[in-house]
Amino acid sequence: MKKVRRRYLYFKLHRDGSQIEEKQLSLTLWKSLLSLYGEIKAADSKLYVIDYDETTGEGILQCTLPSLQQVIAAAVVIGEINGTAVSFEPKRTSGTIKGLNR
Amino acid sequence: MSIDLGVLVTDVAEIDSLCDMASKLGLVGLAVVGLQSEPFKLVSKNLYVYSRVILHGKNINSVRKQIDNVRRKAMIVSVPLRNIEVANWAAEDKRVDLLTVDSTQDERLRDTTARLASTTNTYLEIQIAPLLKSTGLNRSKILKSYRESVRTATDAGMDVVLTSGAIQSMGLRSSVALAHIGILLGMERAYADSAVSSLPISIIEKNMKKLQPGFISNGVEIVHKGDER
Repeated sequence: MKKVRRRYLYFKLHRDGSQIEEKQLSLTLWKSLLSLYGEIKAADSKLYVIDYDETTGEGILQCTLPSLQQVIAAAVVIGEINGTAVSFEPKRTSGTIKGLNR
Repeated sequence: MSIDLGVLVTDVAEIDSLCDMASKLGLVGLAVVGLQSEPFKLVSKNLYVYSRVILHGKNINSVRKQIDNVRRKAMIVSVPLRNIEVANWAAEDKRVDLLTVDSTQDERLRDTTARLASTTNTYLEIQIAPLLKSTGLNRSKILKSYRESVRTATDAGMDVVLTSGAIQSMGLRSSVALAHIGILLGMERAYADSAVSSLPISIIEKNMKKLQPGFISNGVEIVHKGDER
């Protein structure tokens, strides 16, 4: 089986209100991806929140290279999480986590 | 570097938080509806706030009367895409900068309107706010309307700009985020990038020239008055 290349996205989740837990964020990302692109694309994305700081809202998520654009689009159209208004800002993408920190 | 031409905040108290958020997102300008009298104002080190006027009117006469009063005072003048006669008039009139797709209306952008607009450099404006507020079937209907409008405009040579349509600070998005929504709406990557950065900047630059006292029309300006030496 051909290995699917991964991409890492460094993001910041701006919020106007209470802190957003990693689990809530992950669930909302999945729901948005599922709603916009359907079950097959959502499954193929292999979306995973690797790191997330609830205080600063900064984090890293992982997905497959072909689904990167779709994952970002799905994240950007999220307007609120559990009643808290949010704005998702994609900062940097890289093929490695190390590359994000450079 | 990008400018958000469509901020629809109605509360003066929201302006500070909007400007903070805009700076965080790397925006260099916001066009805000109806909160300031001058066409532009520098609010912080790197952020300008421009005034924008939306012309609402049921017929051409009422819109024409309004535009005479506002064009010299506002940086951006837009007309919502609601009525075919008004839309065609706005597409043909060089004083109108943007034709805004209204997600609440069934009125779509017609090919004829788009072709008229392409000759006068009137841009199609897509506001992303309705996409952020809706889910499921409602969002799908908005996406359909927006994607059709983008395709009609680009096929006819009419340029498209993406704006936030934000009524509060969390409605703002960075230029990268907006460009990804542009791709979602059927734009090519390079075109989506220009729809959020270079095209809005070119509209502002063009209108800045028009607001200069010596400006008469494109290519014609007063450089020297008769009694000056």
